[in-house]
Amino acid sequence: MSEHMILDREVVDARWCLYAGLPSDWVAAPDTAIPIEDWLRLHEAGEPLKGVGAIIEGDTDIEPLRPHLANLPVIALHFPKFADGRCYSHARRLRKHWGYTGRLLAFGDVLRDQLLHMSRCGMDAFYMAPGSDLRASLRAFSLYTEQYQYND
Amino acid sequence: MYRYNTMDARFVRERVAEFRNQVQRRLAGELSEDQFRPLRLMNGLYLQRHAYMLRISVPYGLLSSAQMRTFGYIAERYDRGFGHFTTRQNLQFNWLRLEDVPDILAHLAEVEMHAIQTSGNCVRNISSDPYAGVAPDELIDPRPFAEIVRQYKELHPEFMYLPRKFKIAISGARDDRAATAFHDIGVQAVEQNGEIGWRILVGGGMGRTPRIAMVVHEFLPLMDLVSYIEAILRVYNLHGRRDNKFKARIKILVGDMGVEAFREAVDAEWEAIRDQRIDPARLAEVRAYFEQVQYDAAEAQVTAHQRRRANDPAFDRWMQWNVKPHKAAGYNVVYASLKYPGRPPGDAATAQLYGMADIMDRFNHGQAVATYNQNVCFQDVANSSLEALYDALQALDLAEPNIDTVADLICCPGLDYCSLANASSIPIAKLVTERFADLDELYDLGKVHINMSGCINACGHHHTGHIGILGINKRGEEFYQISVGGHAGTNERLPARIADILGPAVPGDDVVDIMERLFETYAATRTGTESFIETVMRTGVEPFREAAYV
Repeated sequence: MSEHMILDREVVDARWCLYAGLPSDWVAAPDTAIPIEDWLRLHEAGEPLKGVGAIIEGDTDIEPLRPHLANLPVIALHFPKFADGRCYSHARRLRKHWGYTGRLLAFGDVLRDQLLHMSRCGMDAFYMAPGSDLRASLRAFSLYTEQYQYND
Repeated sequence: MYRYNTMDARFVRERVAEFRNQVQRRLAGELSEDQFRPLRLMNGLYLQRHAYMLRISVPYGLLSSAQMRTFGYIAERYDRGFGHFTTRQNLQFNWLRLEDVPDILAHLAEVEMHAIQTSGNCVRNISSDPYAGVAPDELIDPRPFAEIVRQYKELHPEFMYLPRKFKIAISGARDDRAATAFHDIGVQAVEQNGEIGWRILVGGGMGRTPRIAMVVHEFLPLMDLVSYIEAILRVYNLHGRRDNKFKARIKILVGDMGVEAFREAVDAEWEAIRDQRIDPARLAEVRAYFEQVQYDAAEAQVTAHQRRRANDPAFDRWMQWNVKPHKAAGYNVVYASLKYPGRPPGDAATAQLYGMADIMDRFNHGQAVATYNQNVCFQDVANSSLEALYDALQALDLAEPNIDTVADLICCPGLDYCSLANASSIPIAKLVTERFADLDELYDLGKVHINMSGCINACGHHHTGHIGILGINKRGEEFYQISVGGHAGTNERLPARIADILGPAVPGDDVVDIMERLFETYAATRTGTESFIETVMRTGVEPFREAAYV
């Protein structure tokens, strides 16, 4: 994972540790996120998950997360390729329809030219693709004075 | 027509600035071609066989004279002197250089135009009825709604990376002239108990798997159009296939789920957003832009053009074929034919683009509509203007009396420009028009729509041609597959229909012979004033199949 990230439109030190799979010595720790299947399973088993977020993919059925939103400080959305637009709809549903107030963290093939769309769908934290110029990428947020949709 | 407000104008300028920066980063090597491709595509820019092609969005086909004049300017300064009108009411330039494109977009922005989402896996330009607003059979003017949907889809943050391209057509008349059943979403105005609403169709399309769209909502309240479209888009964005681009269109998703399950998914999604209705004040504001034409009742008494019809056979033929009915007495919809023998269908030269702009100012309050059949029409021509308009069109080679005839064929650019094409479409189009150059023969055949595509992507809409021609490649040679019985629009007499393939593909030289035999069959089997497609629908395709291959 890169050393820096964009959070609330600023370049900051990378904050979250994302686990693609659960290591055998895993213990719940703040500022981490684990795959949603693991999160739900551990939660079901009564494990304390304070501070632990969930990772979702484009094809994830996010409905099972809905009762747990208040306990999820971060939901990380995976973009395997920038042209895979499914997580935009997940983000919109979480943020707007379900009123999720935690962090929506985009990671994977996250590029400058998609940042604004992601942010307008509710994502506010970004691990950018390797090689990205984070500081230059910040300009993406101020390209448009006003847009037609999602001004709510 | 709709005019940009401060926000619209600023938005388009900012889009030009964004794209200019993307081009600079591409030229500087900061963006790879893989990263740049989707960005340029969603701004209408294709890399073709010889050069870059830029597709400019003409919302529901409606153009101002200033816009038409800018097309002329771009054709002259940046292209090789031509613009090409497409089957989805847009305009393409085929000979551009990448480094010029940001400046071209800046010229377009000055006349309230852009190329946003004319390509790419996003919501494309909204198409509509070329007679919108003036059709005698109209239930409601679809343009204000098309404009509201246009604004809604422009750089929609959630739907810029759909599984595949997405096309919406809106029709407000009883006769569907917008091919709604062949769009990803087709919107048709319908009347129920004296009230107007929308019938929503989903999953139509052309390409390698042609489909007629299925009804997903029988009667949607007018003001729910945007929220319902959003619900459909969200279901498609989340569930459309992304593993195979040939199975990624919404027609495949609807087919796999079944229309009932698809409808349930849309309704569930819609439930969360259905309070987001179109604001009546906003609709009224947009609608006012389309209600500015004043009709003069005295025009109904003007008959000078009737006298000329009696004395000038060429003018009479033009009146018969290129002039269509208007809702207001004394007014007419008039076509400029872009089907001049020997020239690529839909092509307009610089002088013609400038000339049409002048004609729009003189005779049609500065407006025109790009049509589905790759022509341009003037929607509000008064009786007293017909003769002068005819003379002006004739001086520009735009008065060929051939609208809706065999000579009015629809055709994609084909192998001559397009890097996807298997076969040349333009030379075959030329052969067909040459063979049927005799006007008596042409008129005897009456209304026939011939649609031709240079490859399976079906840009020339061969599936909906009364006669369809598809170019294919067999062992390096060009062949043509002929089909019969397609129908693009649904009306009270005929349904939308996908054409049936007649048999094995044939070499280019045989296409015209087959066509001749199809017409002989028509002439021998028609009853009364039945048109070609009406005969095919009555007899079925079999008699034509038998005649085609001898």
